[in-house]
Amino acid sequence: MNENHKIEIEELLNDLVDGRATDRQETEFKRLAKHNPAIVDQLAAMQRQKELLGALPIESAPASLAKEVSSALERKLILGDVAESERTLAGASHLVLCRILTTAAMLLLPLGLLSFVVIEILKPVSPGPAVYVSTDEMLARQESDNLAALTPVVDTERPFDGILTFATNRQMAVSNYIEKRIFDQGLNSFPNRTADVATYQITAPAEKIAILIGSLENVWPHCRDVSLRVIGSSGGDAIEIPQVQAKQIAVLAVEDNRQMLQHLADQYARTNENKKTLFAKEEAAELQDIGLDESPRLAMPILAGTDDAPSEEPVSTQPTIRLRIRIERTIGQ
Amino acid sequence: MKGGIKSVSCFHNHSNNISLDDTSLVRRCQRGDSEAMSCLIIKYQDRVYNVIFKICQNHDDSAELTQDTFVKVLESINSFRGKSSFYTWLFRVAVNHSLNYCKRRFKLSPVSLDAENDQLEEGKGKLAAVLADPNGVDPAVVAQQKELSQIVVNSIGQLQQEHRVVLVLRDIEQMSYAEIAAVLQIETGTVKSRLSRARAKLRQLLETVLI
Repeated sequence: MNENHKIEIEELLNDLVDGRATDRQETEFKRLAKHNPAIVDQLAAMQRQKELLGALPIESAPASLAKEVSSALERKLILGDVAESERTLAGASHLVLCRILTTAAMLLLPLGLLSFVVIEILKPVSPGPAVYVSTDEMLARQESDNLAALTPVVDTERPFDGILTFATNRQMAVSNYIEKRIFDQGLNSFPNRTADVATYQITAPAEKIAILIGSLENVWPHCRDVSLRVIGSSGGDAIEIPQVQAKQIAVLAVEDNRQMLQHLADQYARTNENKKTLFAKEEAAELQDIGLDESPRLAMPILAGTDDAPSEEPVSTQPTIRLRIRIERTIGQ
Repeated sequence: MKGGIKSVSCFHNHSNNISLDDTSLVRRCQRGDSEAMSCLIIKYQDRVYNVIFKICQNHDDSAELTQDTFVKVLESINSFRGKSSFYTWLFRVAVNHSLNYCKRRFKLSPVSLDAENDQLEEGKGKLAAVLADPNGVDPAVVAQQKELSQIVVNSIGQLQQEHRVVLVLRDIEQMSYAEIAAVLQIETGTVKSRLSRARAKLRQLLETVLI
């Protein structure tokens, strides 16, 4: 008896047990039973097995099942109503939010990367980390800052723009004297000081600058050299006036015509250059000590109006001009 | 014992005796009638529980699964369109839920009949006699003996799930081949072949135990 035949017999017996056998199957069973009586016992055993299974006691559900199902349904109904509405709104908003965030992330991530790359390519070379510098180095930097402050700045509306340089071996005394005069004139100027150079930048009406210059006449004798650099209109054609006198500066300061200013500056430059050559020795011999060592003993300015309080002066209608005063230390007299 | 359209006595408030078929009860449930829901539960709870227990072999799990089955069915009662009978639909939900639960929560470990209590030894002899002697004790009487029924149930538990389910639905729940096919959503021929193999395997198991 091969495997297929056994399966066929098994299915035949199953149909007989289940009462689904056709007439042809019943005839087939009778034919098989004649040749193999054991098949009848097999059918009987299968029927008894089926009866046994069918007769197994029915397991009863817990008595509280119906109540528990009702409670569970009510609970779900109550929670479900709330959850349903919340789920609808919350779900929709959550979905929209997720989509927005996803889209934003998809856009921003490549953009951020691209921006980073572009910035990395285009950004200037970093100056490097900040470092502490020594005092000497700091002074050197201030010196360079002072020079930068003295760099000619072109201002077409301002007729006079100059750099007045006092070269003296008594730089501190001269500087203090000038600073006091600036203060007395009610002019604000925050000095830049280094060991060898002090710089004041004053922007004020020409009249006030002229008065200030007048008040500084006593400084001249204590300077080896006083020069004025008049900045031209284009910034490049500055005129250097050596051995400049206070009166010359005052004249130039109040000159409101640019061309005339240039002309006068040019003339003073030539004149003073000649004087410098001819009378250098003579002027040096006439130097007198006027007591710059002690500021209180320093002679006060001679020009009128210097003692007046700034608030009492009439408001000037003249345009403002700029004068940068530079006091340089020189070695020896 | 069969499902389909049949009458049921649903006792409500201990006084009203309402007799309704499944179709009417389902319609009333769809309208939100809690009485009809209770009727459906009471009508089928034992049979559903019995089938689930024979599949899962655990009372606690069976109780939970039965409850879940009814909750699921009654929750989605409005989606029931009557293409199949309510009875078939209910058992489809129950069987699928049970099988999924059994797969997910635990694997049914083969029950070692050798480890059974010695008290079963006497019962084994009686069961062997029932299966061997056509003129012996009535199987129905034997089945009511707890120790014997326990051996049979344990043997059913050793069958493969697909065989066990078919056997339970056919020989215990007494479903027709067509109903089993509808519940399991398989062909009738598949039901027939699975049932044949399940019975043969069970016979082998019982013979092994009883020898």
